[in-house]
Amino acid sequence: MTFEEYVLARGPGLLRLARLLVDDVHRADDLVQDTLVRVYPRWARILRTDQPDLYVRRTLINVNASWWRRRSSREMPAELDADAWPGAHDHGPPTAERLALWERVRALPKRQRAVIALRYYEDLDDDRIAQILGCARATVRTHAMRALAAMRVELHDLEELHR
Amino acid sequence: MSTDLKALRGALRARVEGDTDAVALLARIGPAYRRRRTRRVAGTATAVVAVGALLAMLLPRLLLGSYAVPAPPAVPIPSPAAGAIGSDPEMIHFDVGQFPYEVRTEWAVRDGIERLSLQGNAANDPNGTDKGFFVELTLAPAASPSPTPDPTRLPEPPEQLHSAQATVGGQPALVETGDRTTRVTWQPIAGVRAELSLRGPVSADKVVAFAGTLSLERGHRCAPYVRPTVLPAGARIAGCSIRPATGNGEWFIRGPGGTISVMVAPGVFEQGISPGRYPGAAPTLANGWRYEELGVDSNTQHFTADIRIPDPYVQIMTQGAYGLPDAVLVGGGLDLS
Repeated sequence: MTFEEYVLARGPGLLRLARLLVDDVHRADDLVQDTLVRVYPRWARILRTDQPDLYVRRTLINVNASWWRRRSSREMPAELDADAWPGAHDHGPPTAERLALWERVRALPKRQRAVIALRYYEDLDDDRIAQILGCARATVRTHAMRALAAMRVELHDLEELHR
Repeated sequence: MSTDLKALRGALRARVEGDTDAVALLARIGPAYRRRRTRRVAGTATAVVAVGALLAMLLPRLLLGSYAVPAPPAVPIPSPAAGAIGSDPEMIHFDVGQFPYEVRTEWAVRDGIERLSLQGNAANDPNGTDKGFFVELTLAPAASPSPTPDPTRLPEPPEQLHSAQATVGGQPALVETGDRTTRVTWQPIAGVRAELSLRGPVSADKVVAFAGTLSLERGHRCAPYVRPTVLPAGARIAGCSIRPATGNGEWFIRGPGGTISVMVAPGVFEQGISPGRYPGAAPTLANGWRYEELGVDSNTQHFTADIRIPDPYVQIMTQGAYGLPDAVLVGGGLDLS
């Protein structure tokens, strides 16, 4: 798979994941662009690992974590007038509950927010998330439990504790 | 208010809705990659230059524990000869290596003796209370008498010196040390006497090591940028000095009537001719330069005449039987070299 084929196939998924990691769509576009720019010169080596998705997602999360240090030099988006809530116009007004819940996601620490995105949007298991984040499975579970508690999400299914 | 996972998943899905144009994303990556590469190359180049400059400043200190000694441009001397030392009042026939501390220098040749004076401060010497030091390295033909002590030098208390033998540049040397004084005497080549004396808080081993950096295979022109071309009858240029850090220099003229000093400073004397000093225009030298006669009544150097040329900034002082006409004669023959 060439780099171009990968971007065309997986780019939309990366953009969606990025929208869960940052607060507006433009920054999400920048985050993905920045990530792919870093990945591009190493693409041949990444392909040899047979897990390009793992590597690219890990880079995406690491770049996001380091952005606070270099906001002044980041790539600026081409369009700045879009709504911060992408679904607001395309699919009707979000419910008040969704907005309130999203505000709680935004309030999470970066690491917990990444775990929530990977676990409940990407539907990845904790082993895979641990590989992406470069930490232990138990750490992923701890992040998830603390994030859910902070967001006051009720767990009706005990399997959630042991994914 | 509590919620459940279904609501959370719904909120996340709603958040990611919207256009995801992979083609546009791919189109942005190429230019962004080139901008990033350019920034990295520029950043790396800047860092390399900065580190290089830092190393250039620190490396001599870190590796050699020493600083370059300011000097006029060096000229090679293919065949060092004892007879050359002190023979040319516009040429210094030696060079030195680095010194353990940062120094200001004056290179001079006068009446057959070549001299390098260094002045600095051993600020990083924890044992020194008065950290200033003065160094003088003189080279003269071995047959010539020792330099006459400077009559204007401040008297110093007598000091008990301890003598020891050492080797400097492969030659036997005598090292005399006192409380704050070190003197090294040796012959770098047959027929040349070298004497390095230091007063201040610098250890004798550093002085001996500096003596070992003496080289007779490189020399320096002594050439202040204004040069006398006309001298009183029977007079000759007997010496010259130059300070590389400031560009100041001096010509020393000796003749049957006494001595004449021509002090040269870079640039112009900003105050010019003193206002009201001359009712008409200030007097003019033969070369067209204006000058002002300064008073000599209160000087302690027995000057008989003292004139100042503001542009270029030159001052001429005469001693002995020489006076104002001789100063004006020499001033009129000054030439920009």
